[in-house]
Formats: sequence, C-alpha cells, structure tokens
Amino acid sequence: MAPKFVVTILLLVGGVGYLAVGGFQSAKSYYVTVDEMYAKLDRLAGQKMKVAGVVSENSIAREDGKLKFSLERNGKVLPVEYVGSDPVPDMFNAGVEAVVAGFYRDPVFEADHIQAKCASKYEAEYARGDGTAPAQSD
Amino acid sequence: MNDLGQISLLCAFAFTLYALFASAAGGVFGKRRLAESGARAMLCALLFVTLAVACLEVLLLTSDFSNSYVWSISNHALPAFYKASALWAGQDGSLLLWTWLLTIFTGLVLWQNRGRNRPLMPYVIAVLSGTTLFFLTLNLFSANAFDAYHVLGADGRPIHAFTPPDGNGLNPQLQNPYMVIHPPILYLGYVMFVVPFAFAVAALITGRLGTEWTRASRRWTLFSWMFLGFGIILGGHWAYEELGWGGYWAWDPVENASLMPWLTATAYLHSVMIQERKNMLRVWNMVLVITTYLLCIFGTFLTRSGVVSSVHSFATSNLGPLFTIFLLTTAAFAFGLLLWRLPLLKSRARMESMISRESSFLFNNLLFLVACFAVFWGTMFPVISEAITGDKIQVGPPWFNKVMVPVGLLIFLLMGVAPLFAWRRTNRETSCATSSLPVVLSAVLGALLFALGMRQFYAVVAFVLCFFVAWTIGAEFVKGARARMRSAREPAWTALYNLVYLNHRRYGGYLVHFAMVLLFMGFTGMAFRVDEKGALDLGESMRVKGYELRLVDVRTGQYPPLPAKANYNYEYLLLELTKDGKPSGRLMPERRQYLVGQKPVSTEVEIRSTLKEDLYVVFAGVEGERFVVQVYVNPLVMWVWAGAIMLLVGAAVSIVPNPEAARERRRRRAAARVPAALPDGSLAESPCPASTSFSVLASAGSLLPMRRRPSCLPPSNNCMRTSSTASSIPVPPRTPPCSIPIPPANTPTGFVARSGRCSLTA
Repeated sequence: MAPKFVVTILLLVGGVGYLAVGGFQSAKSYYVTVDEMYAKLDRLAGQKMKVAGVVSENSIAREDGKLKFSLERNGKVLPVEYVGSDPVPDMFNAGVEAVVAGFYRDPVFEADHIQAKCASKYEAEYARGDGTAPAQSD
Repeated sequence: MNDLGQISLLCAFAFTLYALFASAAGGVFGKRRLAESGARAMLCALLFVTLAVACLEVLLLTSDFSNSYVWSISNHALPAFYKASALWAGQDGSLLLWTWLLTIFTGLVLWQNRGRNRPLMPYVIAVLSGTTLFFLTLNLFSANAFDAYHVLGADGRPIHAFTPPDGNGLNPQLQNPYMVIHPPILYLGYVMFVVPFAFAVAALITGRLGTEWTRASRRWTLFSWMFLGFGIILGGHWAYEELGWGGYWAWDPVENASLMPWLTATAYLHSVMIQERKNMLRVWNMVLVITTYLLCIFGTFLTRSGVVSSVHSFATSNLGPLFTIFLLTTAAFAFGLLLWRLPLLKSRARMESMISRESSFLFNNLLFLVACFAVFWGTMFPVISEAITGDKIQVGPPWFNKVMVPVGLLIFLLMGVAPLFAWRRTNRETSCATSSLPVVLSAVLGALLFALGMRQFYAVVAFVLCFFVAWTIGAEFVKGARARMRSAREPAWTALYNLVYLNHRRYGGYLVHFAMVLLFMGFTGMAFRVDEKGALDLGESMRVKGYELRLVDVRTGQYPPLPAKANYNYEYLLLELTKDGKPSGRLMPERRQYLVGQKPVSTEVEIRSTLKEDLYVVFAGVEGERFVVQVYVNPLVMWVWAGAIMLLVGAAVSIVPNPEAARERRRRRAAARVPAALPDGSLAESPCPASTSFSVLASAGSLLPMRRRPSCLPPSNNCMRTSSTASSIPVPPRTPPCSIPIPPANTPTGFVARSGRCSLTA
C-alpha cells in the first residue's frame, strides 16, 4: 500500500485515539454498589461514581424541593440527595434497584442522575420465588 | 399446552441436530441426498418451532398462568393486543422468537435457492442449523418459555405446580405500540444477518470465493441492514415517547449493542461493491461479515446477560456462559477458516490513487470500523477495566459524543465528496469544476450561520455538511436525469423516474444517503435543546422559549372506566398553551399508575411536533401542593423520524427485484468491459484490472461445474460481465445500447458461462 494511504490511515486512527483518551478523564465514572463504595471510599473519594443499590423502604422524602432517599446493599446504607434536573424515572420507587450518578460529599451522595432498573424487577421477582401465590389485588 | 410446546421444541431440536450433521456430512462427502435430507429436516424443525410459538400464543391469549412465562409477563387486565405481543416482552419468549425467525429464514433460503447455488447450500444449511441448534438449546435448557409455574419451598426448590389467579403484569413501559414493533424489527435485522454469514462460511469451506456468495446473500444483507437501522430508530422513538427524559439516544449498552452490527454491516454493504466491481477487499469483506454476525449474537447476548449494567437488561441470567462459549467457538471457527483460505482470497489489485472512488470506499470502511470499535470499547469498558484494575469504570454519553461526533461527521463528509470522485483516479480539473459551486456555497452558509450567532463548532460543521451532501446527491440525480433527457429524449420527470428505476441499486443508495442528511439534521438540532422545570399551582404559568403553559385543571380517573377491568389510574394536567402570544390548544401530560404488581408508575409525555421543533411536556410528579412540569424544546426532532422513513424508502428501492434494471446493468457492464481489451491487447483503460479474471479463475472452487441457469444471458455476454478475460481471447466489438443483448458471432470456443462465471472448459 502506498505510503500516502498509510499516513492518512494513521492520522485518522491517531486522531480518534487522541479524542478517546483525551475525553476519558472527564467522562469516566466508577461503577460500584453501595457496600463496595464504602469499602473503596479512600481511593474513590472525589471521583465521579455510579452507585447501585436498592431504594430503602420509607426513605423517600422531599425537603425544600429536593428529593432525598437512601440506597442499600448488603447491610450498608447510603443517603442520597438528588440535585439533577431531569425528571425522576417512572420506575423509581421504594424497593427498586436504582443507580445514582454523582459525587460522594460526606455524609451524603449528591446525585445528578438517577437510573431505575425496570424490566429486571419483573422477572427477578419470580426467580426469587417467595413461595406464595403473588397477591395481585391489593 | 405447556407439554405440547415442550415436546415441539424437543422435536425441533432433534430435527435441527440431524440437519446439522446430515448437511455437513452431505457437503463434505459429496452425498447430495444426505444434504437434501438435512435441508428437509430444517423444514420439519420450522414446523415444530412454529407449533411451539403457536402454543405460547394460545397460552398468552387465554391467560393461562400455569405457565410461568405467561404469569411473569401478563395479567387479565392487559389488552389483548399486548397479550399477543408479550411473546417477545420477556427473555424466554423473545429467544423463542429468535429461533422461530431463524427457522423461517432458513426455510426461505431453501426456497430461494432451490436448484441454485448447489455446491454452497449444504454448508449454508449446516451453519443455519448450527445457529438454530444453539438457540434451541437456550430455549430448552436455559430460558424455557414452557416452564410450569411452581410454588417454591424455602430452599428454592419447586414443591408443586400451581396456577396463580392473576399474572404479574406487563411492564407498563412496554405497553406502547412502538414497543410492540421495535423488538421484532430489530430481531429481523439481527437474525437475517445469519444468512450472509452462512453463505460466507460456505464460500470459505468450498473455496468458491468469487461473487457467488455475495450475490446470493445481497438481499439478505440489505434487508438485515434496513431492519437493524429502522429498528434502532424505532427504539429511539419509543424511548423518546415513553421514558420522558426528552431524548432518544443515550449511548446505553443495549442501544450500542444494536448500533455496532449496523456499523459493520454498513461498512460491508459498501465494500462488497468494490468486491463485485473490482474484486478487491475480499478478505476484508469476509472479516466484516463474520464480525457483523458475531456482533448480532453479541447484541442478543448483551441484552440478556447483565454483563453490562443497562436500563434494558433483563433479569441477570445463566445465559452468559453459554453465549460466551458459542461466540468464542464460532469466532474461532470462522476466523480459522478465513486464515486457511487466505492464500485464495488475496487479490492482486491495488489502490491506485488517494482521490478515487475505491479509496473513498476504503476510508469509509475504516471510519465505520473505527466507530464500531469506539462504541465497543466504550460499552465494554466497565468489563475491561474491572479485569485489569479491579474497578468498574464506565464512560458516559459525553465520551461517546466526543469520539463519535467527529467520526460521524467525517463519514458524512466522505459521503458528500465520494460521488465527485471517479473510479481508479480522479481528474482534478473536472472534479474541481463540479465541486467548486457547492464548496463555495457551503462556505457562505457556514459564514452565515456563524454571523447569525451559531457558535457550536460541530453544529455549524454539521449543518454545512448537510447542505453540501444534499447538494452533491441532488447533483447526481440532476446529472443522470439530464443525460437521459438528452439521450433518450424523455421529459424531465420520466427521465428521473427511469433513471432511478433502471439503476435502482445506485439511486436507492443515494436515497439512503439523503436519509442520512435528514438524520444528521435531526441529531444536530439536539445541540440546541432547551429545558425548563416548573412547579405550578392551578392558574399559574411558566414560559419556555416563546411558549407559555398555564395550568388550568388536574383530572384523575381510571382506565378502562369499569372498576373490575381497570388497567391503570391516571392523573393528567390540563395545560393551556400559548405560542408567541397566540393560543394554540391544550396539552395533557399524564401519569399512570398501573394496578398490577408493585403499582408501577408510567409517564405519558405530551409532544407537539413541528418541522422546526418539538415541544415536549412531562408531568413529573407532585411536590407538596404543586405540580411539577418539565418542558423540553427539542429542535428538528421530526427530521430524525423523516430520515427513518427515507431510509426505508431508499433501502426498498435498492432491494426490490427489478429484472429490467438487472438486464440493463448487465448490458452496461458488458459494454463497459468490451473496450477493456483493445486490439492492441492493452488493458490500460479497463475499469477492471486484469487480475480480476485471474483471481476468479485461480480460486479453485470456481472451476467446479455448476448447473446453468435458464435465465442466463447468452454466454459471451455473460462472461463479459464478470471478467475482462485475458487479452489473448478475441473479444467482440462493443454491443450497441439496445434493450436485447446481441450475442456476438465470434464467441471463442471452449469458453462457456456457468451461472455468471467464466471458466475455461477442459
């Protein structure tokens, strides 16, 4: 292949690689569960994180226009304050698996984004099999 | 019914297993009847899988909750429409749909190739049945849609079968018409690509590496590509309407999973043209087909495995290892075959000039691959980083945008300039002459946009490119139509129609390019999106960018209104809309609470679309006494949907069989090839390098005898089509451009056409 081709191809790939590496620092976030977050806190402090957990029962509250709740996983509980602007997803509710993105500012987690898992809940329910016929009419 | 479904699946499994071995053995040992029995076994498998699907549909429609899948995905209150489509709303059913589609396509391939492509077919069937077998294994042993509902004991073991009085209900977010058609359309795309892969593998095994396999699978590739593309946009449309966050694309792993095979398939669609025309890039095409197939399977897997966290993911399941094994073995097998056949695939033709059609295709491919790799890297980064550093690191949408926007724009630029390039080598003067006007106008447009205050660099570039690309595509149509008007003395519209009709592949492609212009317009619009949140009390209003919304009333109720049959409670806001001071009707964003399971909430967005922008209003909940309204103004979103329709139209134009166009194409190729060997024997001006015919002939398999197709053109003409034969063979003079090709009198003896291929008879 002619050197001109090689040079152009290298320039293209190099350019994209540069963008990919350059954009990485600002766009990365550590994906952890609530208990992992506490375990790795010394290392991840100040980093952007995505934390997964189950929304604790009776923890959802709205104070001065802010949504507050807590996430739990394996016995650890993380208080979260939602500071984002997008509407909270439909599926967000107590007992639901959620992922919050933001920064940990001791002692609360400031989330600018909430993701609630939807489809999984439906099937996980069955997989867990609570041994009773599901009461659908309550 | 559960048992019947189970038994059908088992029968299908047995037949598929037989088909795999019979057709493979039939192919290897040259036993035709054995291979044919394998093909028939696949038809039986089709029958049984169809029966299984019918069983599941009956179970769903009769709300038989003794079936655990039906229980998990449906309930009595669910409208019948969604009950029927719940077949693909969950993991088990959607995998069954995969299998069903695959067996249907296998049947279609058999029907389409009855009496055709005989040497390839046994292996094609073997690959198709192998893939079917894998999915049937999942259907039977890992994600069985016919498992009975069991009450589980404390240890998690099933105690006894039980029929619950009502089902768990369908996820309300899936109760949307787009969700009914989006998955099967995407699946059509995924599953169809198994066919080109099967032909590619068959070509590798038999060594028939010419254009036979690409031609046999061309339509499948196009259909697959079209469905993938359309399915992706439909998914975006669903997200836009249903999820209520004001956008349609978020670089979610599952979205990425469907985008990756589309990118490689697009690359393949382009580079296969080079193979058909110049017999170059043959190894490359194989790589693309194999990669696309693997990505299709990978996409199906990613959606289900829970490997990467995504809003889409189904229950974390035990499918992971099975998929990984299948992917790895298939990859090893296919790439192994490719390595083995490498010597036969090498082409001696080379790129001659940077500024040529060929090299623009080459760079197009490169960019698509880079894009695909970037998406793959970004999607899999959590997995990769966890393996290396122990931390799961995700990269969010900003990273994807940073990388993909420039790559996308480069591809887009290439799309605009490529038609200006000639094959082999571009004459700089002519191309400058044709391109100077659009380039100048584009520069003026860019300056104008900047002067009007548009400061986002990429947005300005994107709009300028939209203009430029639209111009060059339009110019192609105008140029072609003008030529026809002159030569055939047709009126303008007839000329345009005939131009597209007789060159449907090429102009269908241009229409798809035009669809891309519309899509890019829409994507760019999102750079100017505005959003505003307001907490309103009755009678209060909020303003967003020229719109004023006043909360008039809040209404609640139940749907359907009969209490016994109610599916959900609703609450909606009645907002009076004023645009630029003029009253423009009412908006009713709604929230629904479904009455099943955990009483999930669903937001029903109100959207007012115009070509200029969408007003997107979400009822986001209640804060104290106030009602929260989230308003987005999204410019140019309609253009994306219009682009999707255009994409369908363009793809359809190039897919629809058009015998007249095929004849015309053959004739034109023949005419173009004739001057290839001028009396002096020089091939210098040939559009097809001499190595073409050489390498076709050199590929051992192509010398195997084949049945001659009755529809073939007269031999000599047909020969001209695929090869500009060695210059020592006398070549007839240029055939006049009449509608019926005239067989030249001096066809050399010992030179016969065999189904579009030339070979020297012994």
